[in-house]
Amino acid sequence: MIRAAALLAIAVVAAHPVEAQTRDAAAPATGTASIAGRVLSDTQPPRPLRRAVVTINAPDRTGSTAITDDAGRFAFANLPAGRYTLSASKRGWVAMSYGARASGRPGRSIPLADGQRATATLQLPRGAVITGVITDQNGSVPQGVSVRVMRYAYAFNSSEKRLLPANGSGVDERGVYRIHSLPPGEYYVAAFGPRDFFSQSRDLHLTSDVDVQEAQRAVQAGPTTPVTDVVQRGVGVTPVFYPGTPNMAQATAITVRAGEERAGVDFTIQYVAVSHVSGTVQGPDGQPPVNARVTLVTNTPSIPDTGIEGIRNAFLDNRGQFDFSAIAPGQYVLMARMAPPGPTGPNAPPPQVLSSIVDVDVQGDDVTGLTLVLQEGLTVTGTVRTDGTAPPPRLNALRVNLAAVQTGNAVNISTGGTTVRDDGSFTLTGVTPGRYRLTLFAPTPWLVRSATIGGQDSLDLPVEIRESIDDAVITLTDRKSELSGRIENGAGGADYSIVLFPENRAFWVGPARRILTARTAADGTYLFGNVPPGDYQLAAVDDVEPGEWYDPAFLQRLAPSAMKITIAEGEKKVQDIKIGGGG
Amino acid sequence: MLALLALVCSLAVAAETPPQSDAPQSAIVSGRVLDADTGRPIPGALVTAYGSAAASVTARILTNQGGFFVVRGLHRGSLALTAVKSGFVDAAYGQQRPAGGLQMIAIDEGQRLVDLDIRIWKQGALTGALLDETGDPVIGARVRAFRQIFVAARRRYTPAGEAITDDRGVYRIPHLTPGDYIVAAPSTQTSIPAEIMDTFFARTGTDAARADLALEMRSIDAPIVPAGSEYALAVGGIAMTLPPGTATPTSRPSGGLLVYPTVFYPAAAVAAQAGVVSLRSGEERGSIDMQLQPSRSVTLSGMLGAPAGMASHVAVRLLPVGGEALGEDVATATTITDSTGTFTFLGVPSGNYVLSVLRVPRLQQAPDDGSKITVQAGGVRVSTAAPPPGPVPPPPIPADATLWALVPVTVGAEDLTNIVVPLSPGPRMAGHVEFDGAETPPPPSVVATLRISLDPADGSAPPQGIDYDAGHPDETGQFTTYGVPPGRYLANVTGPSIPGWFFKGARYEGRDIADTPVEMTKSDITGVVLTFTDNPSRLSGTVRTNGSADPAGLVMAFPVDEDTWSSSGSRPRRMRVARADKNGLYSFANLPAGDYYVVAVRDDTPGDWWDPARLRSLSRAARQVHLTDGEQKRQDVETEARR
Repeated sequence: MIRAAALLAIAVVAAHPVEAQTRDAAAPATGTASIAGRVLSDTQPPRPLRRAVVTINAPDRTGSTAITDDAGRFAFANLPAGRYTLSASKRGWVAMSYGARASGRPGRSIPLADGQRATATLQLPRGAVITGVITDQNGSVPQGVSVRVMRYAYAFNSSEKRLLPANGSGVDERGVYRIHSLPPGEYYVAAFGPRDFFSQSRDLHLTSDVDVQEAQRAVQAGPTTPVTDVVQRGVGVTPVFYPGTPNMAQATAITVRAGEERAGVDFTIQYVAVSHVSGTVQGPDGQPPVNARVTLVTNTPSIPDTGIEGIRNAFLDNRGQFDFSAIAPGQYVLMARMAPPGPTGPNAPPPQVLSSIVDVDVQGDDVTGLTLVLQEGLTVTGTVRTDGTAPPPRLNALRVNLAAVQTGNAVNISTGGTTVRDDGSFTLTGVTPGRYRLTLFAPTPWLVRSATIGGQDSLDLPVEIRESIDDAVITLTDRKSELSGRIENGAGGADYSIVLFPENRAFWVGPARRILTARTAADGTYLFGNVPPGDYQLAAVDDVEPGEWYDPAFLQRLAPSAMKITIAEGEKKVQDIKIGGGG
Repeated sequence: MLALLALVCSLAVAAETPPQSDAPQSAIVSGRVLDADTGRPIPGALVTAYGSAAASVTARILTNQGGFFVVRGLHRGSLALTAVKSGFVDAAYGQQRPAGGLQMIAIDEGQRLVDLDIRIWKQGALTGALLDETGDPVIGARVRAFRQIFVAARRRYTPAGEAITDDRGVYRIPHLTPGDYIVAAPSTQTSIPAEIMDTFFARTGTDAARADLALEMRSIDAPIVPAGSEYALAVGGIAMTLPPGTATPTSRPSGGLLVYPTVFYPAAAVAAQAGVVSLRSGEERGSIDMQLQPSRSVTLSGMLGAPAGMASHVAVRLLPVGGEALGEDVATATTITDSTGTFTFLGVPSGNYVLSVLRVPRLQQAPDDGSKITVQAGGVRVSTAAPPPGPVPPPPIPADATLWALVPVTVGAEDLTNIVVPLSPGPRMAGHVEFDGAETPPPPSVVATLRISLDPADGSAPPQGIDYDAGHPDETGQFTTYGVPPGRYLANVTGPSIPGWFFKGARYEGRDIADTPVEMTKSDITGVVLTFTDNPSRLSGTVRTNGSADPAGLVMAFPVDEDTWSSSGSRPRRMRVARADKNGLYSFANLPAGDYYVVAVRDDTPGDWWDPARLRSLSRAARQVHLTDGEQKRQDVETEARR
């Protein structure tokens, strides 16, 4: 379903390498430019939208917010010169950026010179509505069911399209759900059963006629006669897609236009047999561990994940036993973790963390007798260094994280990160084997130049961690690189999406820091405000779906017509692009 | 539902008969869930068994087409059955009215009981539309219903349900029990210094400082959102949040903000003037429409006066005069002081307010113990930390004072600036715990699990942050509570029960301050003795009607001294109800010694038993009972025709 991007032949016009500047001057707080405008409905005739929230943003500057008056008007005054993006939202309507081709697409920025007064009109489509009734197989309204609409989109950390939740609603006591404010588009509707974060939720049993008959027979027979044991199987609700299938591939898409109300999207949920997943956790000494937590994570490719609901926690009893109930058929990852008590404090040694992970396949029968033996996790030790002239950041306010890099549909589990010590050293404990990027949020004006493990920059190439590491190095720099330019197509008002991506194809692992996109501004210029130095390819396309740029197939198609460009640290490079003959 | 479950759960804990270990024949019960009005069986209702008899029952049961359920695996003990079904009020076995008293069922080994029918009543619902001043629907706004109850002989409102308006401005609040309601579209203007938001988004400051701030933000339901975004306006260094659930304000051309203040149905500004909607059982009431009107507003700013460092990052609330019956639930505006102790409320409409500050000493944040994990699956990333298993010992009470202020403020058409609000330390209570009886006193580690509550005698909500744990004893039984705002309080013990021991009273200067309020003013109160006994007094008996046992009876016990009704706090131990069992037996365990009215009523029509007018009327027909310490008194009562 990857949308073919219109490729455009581009030719080098001129490259003016600019001498590396030391640092950005602090952006002035106020200026003399202004933008005023209106927010209107995207209807015929348009009407003003009152109480819409309009936000304005520019790189390296705090945004501002304005709310439209009764005539739909807004104004931002005292703006310093810069490149501004505008967007507007209002409940019941679909949020749009100024100049965007559709909701969720990037807008066009508005370059403002000192003293310039710009105007802008934003038009919002009315949100669409999908509504219907959910019942169970008996025609009765099920307890605790929720409904979500989903659409295919690129996930933030993946280079492929997935079914992602767009909006949701509860189901009221009449079975009615109503999901509104939807952008026009193609949606899938699914009902989810109640799933609890903690597994104290009890099994759900359907009462069978045999069950009732046996109970009544037992009463007549008196207390001394044995009771025929009627097996009561637990049931649960697995996700069901409109028009009533548990299989995502058989779901029917619903396409809604702006402002359309699609009623009658009714379907039935089914109770399915669910299982217990139970077992024992042992410490390294074979004894029941104290203070261990057990987590079960959904890992079923056919079921769209909905975040926190895919995760369940259980407690251990004093014999180290756990029991998850009401587990629907599917694949799961089961994990036990434990942090034995130890010294605490700002510079105390990091907690030692023991863990164990197993895959669990549930096919309707109970899964019992699982044994998880806790083992010491891996450790990643390293240092944070700074290379620059700005006042160094407070090291002990920085936090280092290991971000798991998704491979296929695997569940990735990473630790919660650690705080850097006063001397710049850090230790992450309890790391489970996997592919990771080492990340850190650097305070302005500092940037992370590299985060290496064994000399390999994990920010570009995720590092496979299979054993403990002691040579991680995170280097911060205060020298920011920039790429900007103008697109000329001979017709004026060039409107393209510019894609900057690394020459090294090994770095095409989404979400890569070296894959960047920008929409041309209203005057045909573009700007990448923070480009890690290196060798790149630059391409202009007519349109690109958000996230599509992480798709290697997409970049592959761009590569032949792209322009090669090298950016040095601290460089402010200007690269104009001429779109050639009829593209 | 929560109240019902809480009751059932406490019954489950209090029951003392353990299941027998030598694999006896288990008991089975069966019955139907029936519509109380029509007698029709209800399929698809969720039945749950609670109580000591159901200790080894792990399933919830869905009734079949005939409304039947079967519960197996029961053992000797007491059993409660609840039934939940969409469109109906949560029900329990033995109820004579929606949300009425439930009945415990005594279960013997091997017992078989059928015909345990649970009656379930249709829910009430409130629906309507929320419009703005031009008649446009207000979308995504929160509407709340509050039910009238009596606490300490005063009329109060408790949250009963809420809903979010849809794209038509329509809301629907379901699952309501019969009663008197007020309905509001609440609006709280939350102003947070932009420097505090920056702490989160620019990650200035330490993790611990951020965690402290996040807690303080949560105490006023302030979202953590960047200033100058679609989530918060930025006005002069202050981020005014635009949270979902409230109507979006706007600015006036002449400066200042137009805000949409809280509206109570039909068009009142404060709870005291709200129209009361009486809902009958199963009634769905429509057209509870409200219209929001924009209001000019001003900025109110000033400074907290407190010892160094204590005034920074403190939550400040602006509460409307006339909203007392709602507690601090619906503030007009909230904010947090910046690092210098300065506070700024944006968007305050004119009116009379109380500016309320309560700075509870901050606890050391739990260190990162490596339990937090990030799970990434299917394009979604979730960070989670499972709570530690089992009870966690309470942190020691900090030595810092609790600082408080309550300042009346009248807001007119002009900004109010430079308001100085001095904070005062609140008094503490100190003393020790005593175990008075022949039983072996519990080990020190168990003593340290007790929690002490200080409950305002007038039934208002305890100070937020220390509501259920004003203090706790150490292993020697000594305790000192947090400071509390001055007022009249009752001392009580909460937390896990100690087997064999029962809280008897709180002795201070010759009186029992568990029942008689103690005036806490400026100075601390010391020498309070919290006594536990192994020989609690008990009042029990049989409810009869026309000479035979009445299993439908509800027995009420309340003090003869009417003056104490209004100072009994929110958890009165002398105002109790007990539902008769199927043999008409009732029992009040651990009822403190004293003089009581005891009366049996039929619990079959909705209403609030603790309305003082109703108590007064019941007292005329009630028996007077004098109960002494440790006495096991039997008193049979006749069911009164309801009045």
